[in-house]
Amino acid sequence: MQSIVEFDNLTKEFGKKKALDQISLQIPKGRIIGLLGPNGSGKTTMMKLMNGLIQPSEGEVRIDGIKPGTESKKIVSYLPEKTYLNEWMKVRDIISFFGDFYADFDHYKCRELLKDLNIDINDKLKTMSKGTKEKVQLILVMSRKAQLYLLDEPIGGVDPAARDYILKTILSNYNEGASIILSTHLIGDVEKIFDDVIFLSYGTIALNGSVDEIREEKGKSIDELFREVFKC
Amino acid sequence: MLGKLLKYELKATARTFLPLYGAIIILALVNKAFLSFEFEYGMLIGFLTLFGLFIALVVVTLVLTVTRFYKNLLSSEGYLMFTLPVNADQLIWSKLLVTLLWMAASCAIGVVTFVVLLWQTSIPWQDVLNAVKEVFQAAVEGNYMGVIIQFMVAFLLSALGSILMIYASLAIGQLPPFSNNRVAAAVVAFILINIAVNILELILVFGLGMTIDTPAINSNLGMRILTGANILSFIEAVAFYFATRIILKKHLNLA
Repeated sequence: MQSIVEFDNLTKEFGKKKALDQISLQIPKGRIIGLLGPNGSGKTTMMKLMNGLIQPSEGEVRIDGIKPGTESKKIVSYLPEKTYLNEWMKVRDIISFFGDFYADFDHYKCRELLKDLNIDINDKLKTMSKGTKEKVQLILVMSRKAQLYLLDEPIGGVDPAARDYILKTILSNYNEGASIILSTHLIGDVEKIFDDVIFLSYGTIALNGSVDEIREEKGKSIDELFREVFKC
Repeated sequence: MLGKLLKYELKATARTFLPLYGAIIILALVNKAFLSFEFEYGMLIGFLTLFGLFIALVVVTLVLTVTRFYKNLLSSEGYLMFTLPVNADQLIWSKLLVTLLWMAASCAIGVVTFVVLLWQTSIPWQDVLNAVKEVFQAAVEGNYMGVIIQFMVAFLLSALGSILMIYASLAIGQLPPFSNNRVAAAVVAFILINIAVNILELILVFGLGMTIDTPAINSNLGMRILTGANILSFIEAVAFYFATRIILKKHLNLA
């Protein structure tokens, strides 16, 4: 199986609204993909479909050849946009939790990364700043040796220095041969790490290709191209 | 995986129940002391407090049943729980079993309190127990083991049914049409389901009851009615379970 994700004529409707319209695409293994689009274009919906939080209205999505379920969740590591951990838990408890449920979780790496940030594992999440909480969640997600990492707006609410740290952490810690799908609308900072980009516009794919080819063909940065394609 | 979920669910709820149990046991012992020394003023306050604690236990159990399901599965923690390599059945059962466990433990604490308070008082226990047994056997005329079992099953099914009805209501409340009013929708769902189930039971009871005289509880017909009631409770519990399950599997609508 060469693709880690396959979308097969997938449509997702919420009531009358089509969030995704007849999406077909393949995500190859071992690539870092930027999922780019304005707010409301369907990026989070695509991610939720890939990790099984919602079901397609029509069509299918497959992770490594199988429909999202218990088996696919073993190989998919997901970072949602929000804080999704119990704030009363200590970091060490959350580490145990991840280690308990995910066979691919690397305790050692996780503790090392937290130590680098001077985060005390005996602290409760509640006592941390928003930026620190987000870093903790990112570290937990990247400490898994997953086949697919789904990162939904990982650099959204943090300062530029933190953004650099986050990108560095992502790049130096993901499992070899795995794919990362990172959704964002802060493209300038991030485009240097992408192998491929997908532009999502009102639920359809406006663009899908390798960053190098696009830059050569269009002669502009992804950020510039984005502004062009999605001009208001 | 279910075992792991059970472990975490127990951990999350123990911090509420264990201190309460501790307080009850201590108070029972204190009241026992008051009883022995006939310290009437202490006894008044003590027993009122003990009674209050038991009421608190009931309330806490109910509140925790609702909040654990809602907070851990249907709020932002749901993003964690539903992306774990577990299925909806395991998530439901982990919460259901732990709630039942605490209910059983609470009953046990009640019995312990009772025993502690009445231990070594001048009541002739052996005679009391024998008298109770005789009265019971006379009322039930023979198949009293069967009746006891029926009542125990009824008790269990009733607990299961209540918990699952709460879960089903919460699950319905988070469906897309109610996205902005989840709690209100859940409350309304609960009330409506309650009404519907009561009407259904009434119809069945009157419909069947019209045709027969009230039988003795141990007679064939009596036992059959008990069994019938239990079967109905079972069907209700199963219906609530599957409603919850299908909503969580196919119609999860996390905020």
